Amino acid sequence: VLVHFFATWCEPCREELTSLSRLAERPGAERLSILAVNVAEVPTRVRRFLDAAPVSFPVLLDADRAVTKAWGVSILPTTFVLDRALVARLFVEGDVDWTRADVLAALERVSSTNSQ
Amino acid sequence: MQTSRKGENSMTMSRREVLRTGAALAAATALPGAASAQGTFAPAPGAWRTFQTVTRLEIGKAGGQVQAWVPLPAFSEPDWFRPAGSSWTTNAKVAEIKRDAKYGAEFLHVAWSDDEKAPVVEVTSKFSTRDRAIDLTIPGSPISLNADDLKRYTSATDLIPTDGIVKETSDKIVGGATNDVDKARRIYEWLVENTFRDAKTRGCGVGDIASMLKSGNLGGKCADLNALYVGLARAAGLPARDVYGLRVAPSKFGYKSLGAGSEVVTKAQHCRAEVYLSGFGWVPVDPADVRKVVLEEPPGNLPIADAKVVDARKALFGAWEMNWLAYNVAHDIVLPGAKGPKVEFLMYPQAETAAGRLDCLDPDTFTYKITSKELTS
Repeated sequence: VLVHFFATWCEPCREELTSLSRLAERPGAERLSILAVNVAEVPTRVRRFLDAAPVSFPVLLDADRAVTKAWGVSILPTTFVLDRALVARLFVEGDVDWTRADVLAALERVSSTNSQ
Repeated sequence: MQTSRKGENSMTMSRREVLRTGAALAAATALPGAASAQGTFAPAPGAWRTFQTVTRLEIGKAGGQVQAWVPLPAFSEPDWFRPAGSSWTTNAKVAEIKRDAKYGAEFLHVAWSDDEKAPVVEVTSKFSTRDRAIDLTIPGSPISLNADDLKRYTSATDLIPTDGIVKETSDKIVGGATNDVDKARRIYEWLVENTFRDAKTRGCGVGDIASMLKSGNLGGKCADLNALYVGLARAAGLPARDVYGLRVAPSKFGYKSLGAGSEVVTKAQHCRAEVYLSGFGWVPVDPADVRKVVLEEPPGNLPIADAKVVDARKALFGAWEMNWLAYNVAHDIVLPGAKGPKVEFLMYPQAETAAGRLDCLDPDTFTYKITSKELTS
């Protein structure tokens, strides 16, 4: 599971959502669940943003930052990769290209970790 | 060159005279008070000015319960800002002034009947104000902060932590400073040197200062840059606060970037910062406006050594031109009766319908208009 914290005002977040969409469309991506968490923005703003730039994964709203705080997120974007047992294995602060070879290899490692 | 009357006594201008007059014209345009900023920005307490603002909200696509919360210019500082009350007209069933308990921010809370098809409220507010300038070379005996205020204005808020990277950054900036004025000035100069105004930031920004410092992206607008000033000052042990408000008139110093462009001030929100210094009291600062001059003052993208920037930079540590109103200094405000979360600050009107909180920065879904005018009496 990939949990991605973002906001519409955050410039690098926009590119990264596109990158995550590309990741979600890759063959074999059905093994990966992507959840995006919008941090403390009004729903109408998020909806309009996603109307203009749709994504293929669910977007959750953390209206009061409770989840963001509980996860210790202090910079946007921040992304966690959890294994099948929902144990956090990787995290990234800042944006990353999710279709880069080394990033895909790291995701693959997480995927194989929990099968052992 | 000569006048229309010809003859022995005709007034003719010699080439030498024309040159002399030309030189005098060049000198004349350098006088202060010219239409465009010539690099003279020097607010000082003078005559009081009285303004009236009108804020009108019309909430379309109502349906279900509709509520609104409209900030009021009720911040009271006898030396420079005196609120003179607000009145309103509305088709709501309830409209009453509320105060937030922690900071005393005032706002009008309006609630309409479920069957009201066209909710509308128009709030008229009056206030008087005059420019501020603190001479930081001559300490006086200002009113000291009580223990509650001291705690309130040195504590963290949801988006302004005072530990971690904020504290580390602050320590680096003020290390070696000899006194509080020096600390406050170093943080100001650091902001001016290291941040930038980002035209793409929506509204006035969010003010998530730890995220700014961690990401290294120090771009933003007033709610980002001046919140960063407040956080760094608080982390250095200096009481500091954001003052949220609205520009209501052009700058009389000719700075286009530092004033309202017209009577319609719907998008002229601006927040500033104050730092409390012993011997001087609350001192006005505005590093975000220095960066605004850099980016926006015609012709734009001015070098930091430009006279207009240099003058604004010098003045905005210790002085504010009061072509601006002050709403409040509040953070993390719970809006009474709201279904949505608390707001980080209350500088924009807020509203909720059955669909939830409206986007105060989206004129397509949430229509409001703010106008301002100066009253002569």
